[in-house]
Amino acid sequence: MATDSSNPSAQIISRLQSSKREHRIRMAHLPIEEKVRILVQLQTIALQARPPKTPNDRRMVWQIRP
Amino acid sequence: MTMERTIQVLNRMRDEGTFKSYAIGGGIGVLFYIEPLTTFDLDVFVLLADDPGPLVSLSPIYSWLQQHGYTPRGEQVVIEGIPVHFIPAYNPLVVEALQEAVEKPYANVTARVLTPEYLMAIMIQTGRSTDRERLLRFLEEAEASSELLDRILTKHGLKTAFENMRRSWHGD
Repeated sequence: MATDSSNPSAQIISRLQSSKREHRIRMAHLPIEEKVRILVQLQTIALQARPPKTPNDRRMVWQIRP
Repeated sequence: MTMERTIQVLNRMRDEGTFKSYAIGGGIGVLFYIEPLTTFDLDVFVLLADDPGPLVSLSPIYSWLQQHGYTPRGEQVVIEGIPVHFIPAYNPLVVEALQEAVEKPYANVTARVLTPEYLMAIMIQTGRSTDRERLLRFLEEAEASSELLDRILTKHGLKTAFENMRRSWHGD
């Protein structure tokens, strides 16, 4: 994406977006087993951030053993 | 890891003829191709017979699981610590996706997983906000064939839906 070289904010945002995109692509290439470990961490965070409010909420953190 | 054991159970069910074939889809299918995103269950698409009729019953699957000590909780069954959601192949796109699924290694086992092109086509067909979000990531991160995706979308009448999604991302 072209950025306005005279606008420092636009340059910072552009660099940040580019860096985030590169990070996502690196993460996409991680081994699947490592991605599942990260997923379990994400599940833990998601449930802490928004705990189940009803008994019908069946979200659970996967029981991954080392 | 328990997901390895979950996959072993799925492979065993297939080998014993509980269903004809299976493939991992949904959030975990996506995980094989892009960065980790939050999901809570393992979606497993199943083909129960060569020629699935309009009435599909998952009861052979639930019977097998109960016989082996896995108790269903609503639509889910927790298999080796992971909630699994069995989804019968519900339309021609999903049947084809299952037939074209690939074997992927996971730890010391092999899992059958939908290919990125079929995962994208199913996301386009389903069209929920989650699917749109995942699809956007997919287009950026996954190594997929745009020619194959185009052929699948044309065959299943999904090109307009895809174009509409693309336009909504670009704010047209």
